[in-house]
Amino acid sequence: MIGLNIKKIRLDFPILKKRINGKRLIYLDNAATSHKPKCVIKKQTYLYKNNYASIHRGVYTLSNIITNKIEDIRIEISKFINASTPEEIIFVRGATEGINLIANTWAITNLSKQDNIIISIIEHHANIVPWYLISQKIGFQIKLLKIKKNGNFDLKQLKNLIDKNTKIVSLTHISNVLGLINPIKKIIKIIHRYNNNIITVIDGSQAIAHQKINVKKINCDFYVFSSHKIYGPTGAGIVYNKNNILKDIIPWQGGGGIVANINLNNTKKTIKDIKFINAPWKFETGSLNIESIIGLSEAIKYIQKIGINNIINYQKKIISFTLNKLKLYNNVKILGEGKRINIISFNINNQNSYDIGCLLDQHGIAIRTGHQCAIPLMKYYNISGICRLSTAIYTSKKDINLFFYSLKKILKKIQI
Amino acid sequence: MKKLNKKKIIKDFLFCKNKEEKLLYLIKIGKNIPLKKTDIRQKDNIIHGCQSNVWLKINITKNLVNINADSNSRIIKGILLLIIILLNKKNIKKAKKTNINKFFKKIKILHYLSFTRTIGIKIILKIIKSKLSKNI
Repeated sequence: MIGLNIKKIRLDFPILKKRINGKRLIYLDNAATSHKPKCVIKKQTYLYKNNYASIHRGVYTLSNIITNKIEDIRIEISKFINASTPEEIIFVRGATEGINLIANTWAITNLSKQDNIIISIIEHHANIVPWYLISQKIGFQIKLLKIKKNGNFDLKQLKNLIDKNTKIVSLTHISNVLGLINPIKKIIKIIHRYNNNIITVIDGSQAIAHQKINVKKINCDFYVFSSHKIYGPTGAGIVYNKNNILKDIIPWQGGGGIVANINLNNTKKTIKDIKFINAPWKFETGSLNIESIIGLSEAIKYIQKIGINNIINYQKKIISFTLNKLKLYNNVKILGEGKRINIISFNINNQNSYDIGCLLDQHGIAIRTGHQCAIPLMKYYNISGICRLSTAIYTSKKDINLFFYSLKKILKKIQI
Repeated sequence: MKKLNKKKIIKDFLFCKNKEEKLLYLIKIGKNIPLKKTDIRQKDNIIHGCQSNVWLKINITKNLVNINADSNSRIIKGILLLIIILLNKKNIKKAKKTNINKFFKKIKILHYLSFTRTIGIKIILKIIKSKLSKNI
């Protein structure tokens, strides 16, 4: 169909050969997590067989090899998202931990009771709960940016929400439910027009595998994403912090590998007794998930080889093909209207999403059902759950056709 | 559909050829829940912790159990009907002794449901058990 050799790409993903309930696996839950190409799996095995050791601590050869490798990956990732320096890149376990890190470092240091932050009603719980947790400690206000009925942010309301006490605006680049690409560059311009000191946090979990990310152009202060959504392993994620703005802030997690000196002799024990190493390393305490970071690097190389623009073009076409087919159904309610790349959420014939998902599974089809970790958005649309279909570079036209074939069959069967 | 009882359900489940048929059977029997939506679908009856909406009301009259339940998932509604069939009209002592999990294992249904749903069902069973214990 469309530019890329999907047949060839599918051969790179061993799991796609698997039969589920005797049927071809049709994996349409890529917004939750994506599958891994052979090169990623191979690279992780290679690490364990050849280069595995503790990083940043050892003086021996093996430790130096892997330390240099991880620091090279920091450079690769900074280039991948067009950061200015590798020091702007912090390794974390995933986007969720990334937002928790920002909340517990920059926000906890800089916010006080009279301040406020803005999040939106379409956020994943990962971009809601961390802010609530620290608001509980500090007492700042959390304001909510609403959407228009078509699922796009209400930018007029955004202007009204911002005031002199607004310190942070934290928004998703692409909603995990609506799948619409939010104009974050434009939004950040609006925010900065009002106050250049407002810190902007972008949750890039859904965008990272399907958009060309240029943090300099976006001009955000923080950008977070997880490795497992971009064909990499689980357990690794990235926090980009512009100009290393966390450099003077104390870490939120304490432990080994981040202490330059410690003095236990003062009568009054304070945090000043501990001298931390520099950022970004002081935010990476404990033993980093090096095998996942290695895998992430390989995943990035893999998509770069295919070409991110090729991926974007293909995804656009396959999602529009899917959307057009879905619209042919009677009684289908699709959430959101606008530019989308790989996600469609829908309810059909007033059927419960869980029932549809369970029955599709019997046909080898994996979709996500339920509230999608976005209960506020479900409440906005007055629904308890929804079916979400999300594609990836290995989703073929055949997958989509088989999905609709099974959906039709199921809908017929449950009209009891 | 013939009157449902424990024996008939086990027999019917054994006739189901695959998982899909079992799920469709649950959807089908779920329609037999005797209820008026307005009676049960109230805020006080919502069970928190279930991924689908579940409403549950347990009444004990003259030592006899009477459960009314509903869900917006037709599969879960089928499961709720099974619980109702197993417990309703039994005296509290007998109801308490009824091993619902054993029955679910016998018809091999729980492992077809997702992790979050099985947790939801465990919550429902816990609530029922606690209510029965309070009334004993």
